[in-house]
Order: sequence, then structure tokens, then C-alpha cells
Amino acid sequence: MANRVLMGNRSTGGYGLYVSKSGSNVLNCDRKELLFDASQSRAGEVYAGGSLNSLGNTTQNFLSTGSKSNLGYIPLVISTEDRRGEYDETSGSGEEQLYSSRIDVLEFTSSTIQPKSLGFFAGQDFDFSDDQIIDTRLSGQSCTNLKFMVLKIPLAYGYMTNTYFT
Amino acid sequence: MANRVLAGNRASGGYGLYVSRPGNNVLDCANDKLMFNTNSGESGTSFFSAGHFQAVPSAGGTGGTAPTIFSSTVVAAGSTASPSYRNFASNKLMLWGAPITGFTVSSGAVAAFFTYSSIGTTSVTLSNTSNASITVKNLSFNLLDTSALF
Repeated sequence: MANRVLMGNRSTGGYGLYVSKSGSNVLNCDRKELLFDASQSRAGEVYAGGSLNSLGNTTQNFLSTGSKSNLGYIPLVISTEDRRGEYDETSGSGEEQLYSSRIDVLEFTSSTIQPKSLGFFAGQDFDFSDDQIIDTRLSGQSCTNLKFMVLKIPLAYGYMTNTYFT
Repeated sequence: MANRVLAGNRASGGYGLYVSRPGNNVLDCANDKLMFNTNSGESGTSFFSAGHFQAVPSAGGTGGTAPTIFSSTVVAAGSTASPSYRNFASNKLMLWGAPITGFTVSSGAVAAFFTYSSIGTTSVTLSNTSNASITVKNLSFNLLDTSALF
């Protein structure tokens, strides 16, 4: 049986706590064979999450249960919802077509999630200054059966720095 | 070199197993500087985590059988299939799928997608609403809780 748990000095990684996957020797296996590796700055701790039957064009605060503190950065959020696929619509007059390769777009802040649509009809009245590229969910793209988990890993411009990873 | 691992009584958190991030003293660092913490029931500024992000095997993972993490399911147009997984998290699951081959919306349709429903302890219903057969790679994650928010 392979050594599975090490609390001590690993040849690759130094002092710390290590747990390897079944069949892998924790003392010298590749790092990809480790279930837990204390030499890494961030791991997959789930900070918050939820299962919502639907979420309209509004923000949902994911810190409310237990009055959790704001992490101070925009975190990585893993999510699923009913509409996993693509979207294609032609305007009534047939002059414009909107195609999106995926529907399940969400916008994140350090405390909220909100459904969004990616793209908009680019007709002659399109206003590039009016934030129409990422806008509220279009009809037919409503967010239902949303499940999500907020991980304690920074994932946004300005936050993927030593300040937030060490 | 900072103390990184504590199996014992931490001033903030009590008895348990704690691991700090590199460069941080596990004995007295802030909660956000911990990468593992067995403490539970925290709230407010003391809250650490709801659990560990973990995959649920589609097969294996018991005894001497290595776990198989994902499965691939072929779903005919407008049909359903029933991919399965191990009962490691009851029905507290987040099913995440990715189409291996792209599929195209039909003329006149506005959306084509696949979705999971009727989540059970060992299988789920996968529906394909598009007009073409797709192959979906299924990954299952332990959702930890089925509350609206946790």
C-alpha cells in the first residue's frame, strides 16, 4: 500500500501537509497526484453557494447566509443552469441576426452574481457607449435551476496578484 | 520559516487541523490566510469555508478500484439520457457538462441547449433540446448543501 499522508518535509514542496491520491506515494509522486498540497497558495475551499430555482435580472448576494465577510476580491465561481448551449435569433424583419455561443453568462462582483446576456443586435441604432454588449438576459435566455459554488480563489483583473495569492 | 501545519488548539478556532498558506504563521494568521481548517459553524468575520470543492466519481472510487471522474453520454436530438455517478454526496450535486461536439440551432429556433434534471443519488436525467445529436462530457461535484443559499 502506498504512503498516502505526509506531515513533514517533502522533497518537492518542502515542509507541510500532503495527501496523495489512491495508489500514489505521497513522498515522491507528481504534484498532479496530490489531493491536498500545502505548498500551493490557494486550494478549493468553497466559501458560499446555492441552488436557486430561478434568478431574474437582479443581483443575488451570496454572502448573506451566516453574514459572511467580503473576501476582498472577485472570486472564481463555478456554476450551472438549465440553458447550457448556444443562442441564435433573427430579428422580425430578417435584417439582423444575433448569435451567442453560450447562454449561461453570469456577472460577478465580490459579493453578488447576476445573469447577463452576451451580445446584442447590432442595428443602425446600436449604441456602443450604452453597455449593450453585456446586458440583462434577453427573453428566451432566462436563468433557471441555477447551482453555484464560490471558491476562495481570486479570478478577476487586478486581483490575481501576490497580494491576494499569498 | 513560518509554522504551516497545526494539529491542536488554535487560539482562534480551537482544536482541529489547520494549514496556512505559504509564508503565514498557522498559529495566529487571519482566517483568509488558511488554506485548510477543520473548524465549522463559524459565521461573520470568523467564517472560513463551507467545505472542500470535490469531484464525485462517475464510477469506481471504492475498495481498490480507482475512481473514474467523468463520463461521456450521447444524447439524440430531442431525447434524454441517464448518466450515472457514485453515491458519494446523495443528491447534493452540481452537474457540469460540456458538449464534446458543437451543435447548431435549427432554422427558426432561438435556443438549443442541454440540461440536467431529476437529480438522484446515483443518476440524473440529461435532456437535449437541440435538433442534433450531441455528446456531453459529464462532471459531478459535491454541492455540499441543497439550501437556496449556503
